[in-house]
Amino acid sequence: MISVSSERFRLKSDQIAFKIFEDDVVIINLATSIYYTIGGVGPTVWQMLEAGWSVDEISDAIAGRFDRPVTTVRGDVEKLVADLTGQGLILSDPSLSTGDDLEITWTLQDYTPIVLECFSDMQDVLALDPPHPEIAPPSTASTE
Amino acid sequence: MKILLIAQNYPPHIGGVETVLGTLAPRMVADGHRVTVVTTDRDPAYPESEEREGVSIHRTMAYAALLARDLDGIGRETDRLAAIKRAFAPDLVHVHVSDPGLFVHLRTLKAHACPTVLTIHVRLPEKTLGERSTLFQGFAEASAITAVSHAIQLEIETIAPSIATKVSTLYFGLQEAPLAPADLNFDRPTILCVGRLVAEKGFDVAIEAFARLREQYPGIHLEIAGDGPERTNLEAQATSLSVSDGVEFLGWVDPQKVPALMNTATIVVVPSRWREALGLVAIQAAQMGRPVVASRQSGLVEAVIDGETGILVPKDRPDILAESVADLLMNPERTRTMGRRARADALERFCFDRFVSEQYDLYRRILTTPG
Repeated sequence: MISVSSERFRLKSDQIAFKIFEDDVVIINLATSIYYTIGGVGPTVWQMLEAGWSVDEISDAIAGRFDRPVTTVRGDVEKLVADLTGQGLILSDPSLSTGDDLEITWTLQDYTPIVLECFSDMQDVLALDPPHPEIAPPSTASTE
Repeated sequence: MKILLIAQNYPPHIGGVETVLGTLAPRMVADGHRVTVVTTDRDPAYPESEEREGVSIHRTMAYAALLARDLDGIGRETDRLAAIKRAFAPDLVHVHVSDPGLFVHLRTLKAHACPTVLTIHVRLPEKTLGERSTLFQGFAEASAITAVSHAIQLEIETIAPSIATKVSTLYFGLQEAPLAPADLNFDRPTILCVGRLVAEKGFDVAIEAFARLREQYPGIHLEIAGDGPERTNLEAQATSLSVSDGVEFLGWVDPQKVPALMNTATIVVVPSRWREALGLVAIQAAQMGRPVVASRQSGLVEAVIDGETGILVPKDRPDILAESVADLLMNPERTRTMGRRARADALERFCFDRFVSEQYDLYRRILTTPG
């Protein structure tokens, strides 16, 4: 049995849209319309997952960069991977045997724990007070 | 204080929240505070940034970006809010929730650390609120949460019981109109509806009730102020009921002219099907001494004191709506008394000075509470 730490994953690219920003990654599950953000060292982990790196490879790279115990980092990465898998954003891909080369831009000075935020009600929130562009009033006149 | 307000829109864009913030923000400036407003649903008719009545306004397209799942746009608008937070460095951020401005606020918390106040202006989804929802995360982050009605407060407490101690109801206040209420006209009774012409507002129920009333009161008149996708259907309904000559569609009305319009009404009808958070039109009508016949729906139950300032009726019941309006038309003195009570109640419960004072009290309490 392959351990989780050597497992490689691929993004469910046909079901998600994402963008990596300086402080976080924003991911949208296109099927469920749920938004996610991953902060802390998460954007770097996401890039590595996208490149097909295993949890071990990711943990080693991050632990080395920030001089942190690899077991601590691995625990954080494994939790993120489990969350992302559970949310249907990535999936295990046994066909991957190596990861792609990756030129990493390290933006953080210190290790910052991974924070996965989930915005499960985005569609509800967008519909709380829907604008009606088709009935948009003239700019100076309207009613409630 | 330096106060950053985040809302979907701000005047001259018009709506319920805009009406509240459009008077509150300039008043805060007049009271010596610095106020910046960031909106999330910019109408291209308005500039990205401007200053109005001393209030610095920045309009973003965050809503459109989130709706379109435009990640570049989400990044751009979030960066803009972060830059505004860093430059303004507010003492507190007050998010007025009727839109996903909460998402961009939560995503920019690191840009500037300060307390958050949330005000919920809308009815919330009727389902359990998970801890991974935007709303719950907003509730958890906020130092205080205010609801515009007890109905909304109850909803918040129901779907997020763990934050119940942070929630309170703060009725908004309306500035008193610059004209006195006119006497109610019973010689040529006019029923008035005001609002967007969407099915949820129930104006079709008002037209059907009007058709029944007209048999009894041939001189009665129905005015509908507002516009929207239902207008064609409503006009067709009036024609099919053979009452089109008694129904006038006024289109969009300048908000400044709403008090004068209210003054022409004998009775204001609010036949909403949806769960109004409170019912701005009902309060505006009451302020002008008009009795209101409204649906017995959520916040309207608080805006209208049944039998005192108006009458509450079941939604979607044109027969009962017609009977209630007829009852008021048959008893002019009782109806005038009801109008006077409505005005007195509106001036007390929805007093603008009281609203501003309680808002400041809340801000001070938060800013002086450790942690």
